[in-house]
Amino acid sequence: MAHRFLHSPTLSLVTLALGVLVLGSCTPAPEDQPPGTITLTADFSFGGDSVLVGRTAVDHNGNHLRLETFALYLGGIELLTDTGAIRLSDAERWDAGDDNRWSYSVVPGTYEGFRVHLGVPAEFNTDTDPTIWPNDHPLGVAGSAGLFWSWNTGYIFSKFDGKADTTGGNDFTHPYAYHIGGDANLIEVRLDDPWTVDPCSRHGFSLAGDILQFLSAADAPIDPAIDNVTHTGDNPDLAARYVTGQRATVTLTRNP
Amino acid sequence: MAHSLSPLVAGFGLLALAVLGGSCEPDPTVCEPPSAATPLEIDIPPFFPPMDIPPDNPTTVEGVELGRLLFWEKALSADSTMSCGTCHMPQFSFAEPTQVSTGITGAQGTRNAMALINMGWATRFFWDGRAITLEEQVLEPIPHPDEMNLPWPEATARLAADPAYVARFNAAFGSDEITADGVSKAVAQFLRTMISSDSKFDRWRRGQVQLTDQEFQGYEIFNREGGDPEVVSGGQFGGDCFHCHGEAGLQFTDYLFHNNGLDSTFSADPGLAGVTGQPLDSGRFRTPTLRNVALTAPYMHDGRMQTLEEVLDHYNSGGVPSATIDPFMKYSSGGLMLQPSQKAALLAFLHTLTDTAFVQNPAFADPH
Repeated sequence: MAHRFLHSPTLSLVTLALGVLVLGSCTPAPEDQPPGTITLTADFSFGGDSVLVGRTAVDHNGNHLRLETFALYLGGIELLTDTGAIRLSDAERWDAGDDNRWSYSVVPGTYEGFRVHLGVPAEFNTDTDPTIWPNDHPLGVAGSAGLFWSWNTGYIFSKFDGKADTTGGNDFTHPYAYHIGGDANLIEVRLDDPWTVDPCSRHGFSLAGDILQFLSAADAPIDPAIDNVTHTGDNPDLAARYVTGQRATVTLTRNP
Repeated sequence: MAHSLSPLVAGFGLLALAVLGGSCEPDPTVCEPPSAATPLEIDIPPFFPPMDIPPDNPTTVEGVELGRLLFWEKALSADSTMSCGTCHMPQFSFAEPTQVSTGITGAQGTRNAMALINMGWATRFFWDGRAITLEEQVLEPIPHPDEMNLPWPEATARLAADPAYVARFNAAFGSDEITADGVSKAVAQFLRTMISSDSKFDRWRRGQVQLTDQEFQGYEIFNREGGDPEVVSGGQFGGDCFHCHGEAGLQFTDYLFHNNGLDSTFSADPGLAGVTGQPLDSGRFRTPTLRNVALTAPYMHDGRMQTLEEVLDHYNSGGVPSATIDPFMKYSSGGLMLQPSQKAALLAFLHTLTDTAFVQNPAFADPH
């Protein structure tokens, strides 16, 4: 009886159908457990206020600065493990007025830390053709608009420009532009802090920094009245000073 | 017995359900072209970026053919004297040699007709960027009272009265109904095929020809920072062209909006500010491509400059200061300070961007 039951055609078909239902579904997870989620937010400020095009602020030298552009790349976003790093994203683009928040699925487990770079990783920078990316990818031709000038100069890692009144008034006619690029100016912002990602858990990391402090915290503080323009290649010393200010003031924290 | 379901039948039914119900849902972001239309894959030239095709307007042979007919269709103007091609003339790289365009009523516009080149890669349309998509851009000139002045209901009725057009719309979109949406989609498909990639510069990039010494010197000036380093921090005595007309994807535009220092006030034409309402956008206009720039005179959004020499002199001067002038303009430091020989070299380079094969391409010519 049992032998005959196991070979029932009806039961075989039902079993086959159930098998097809399971195997034919669209959600075959690569891991056994559901992933956790990491959300990265980047909250840059301008003189303590949110970054808005047209906003004005007074720098450490009393210059009245009007911001017209602030944009940058967050590249090489990675989880750190005891054996290396797991890349979550090659690059994201930060623009004033955008949401500037990115989420990633993460396999459950214990991680040693997290890191972000201010800029574009070397493997995607100069001598790399932006047309290899989808057009609207942050590194693609349209997605990088204003942050890629040619393969001679590569991607612009960060861009802060506008006009100043160096007398502290509101006559904004003096231009300033800090356009940073080049592999040597890639900044790693790293948090070595082991933590565990449980299935379906949510985690947050916050990147923060005040643009005016990029000027004041530089090795040699930058006065836009005097040192007002660098596109990196044309004025590498000023670019390097600006980078030291970025490096000194940008922070990365893990939210509880 | 009559109401009982055979276990065998139930098993087959469940199996069929599993096979059908368990299959993946189609990707909702991808639209297949109408079954009657023939998909057309646009060839992307070397060093060009991928072209984003709207999911709801895939390119087809029939759609492009229809779009070409519509582009050149004079019945789409109120008095049947004007088509898109009237102001976008092939020999001028699909721009117009007059300062501003004149509509069928004699009314004049306020801006110079933009060249139609490589539109499939553009991200905003019109000088002020008021159209977000190519399809949206196509919708405007036909009913505009200062242009073709034909309301859309009348335009579509005229087309619907022509059995040939009905058949072509059916072939392209699978429906006899002719709508403004269908017209815009067809014309947009045609415009996406209008690709310029055979200038001397393109052939040089492909290693097929050499630039002359003067042309190459101009190319270097194009890509160098502007200004005297004694006056401008980081100046390289260059033309400073690449910031806005960069080579990324060989399009020679950053697709952004800039105030290049033409005026000190903007009441006559606020540019992008007229769309966004933001004062800081006053006087900002879309960066045009420099492809075929030697064919597209006059220049600037209002066509105020007749020659490329005038344009170079303007940038060399540094421009007129204003509240929104672009920081790249050298208005506060005496301009670019290019010498005549440097300007001549820059001019020679700009001429290497001329693509006569594009303007003479029979696939873009008037088919009527």
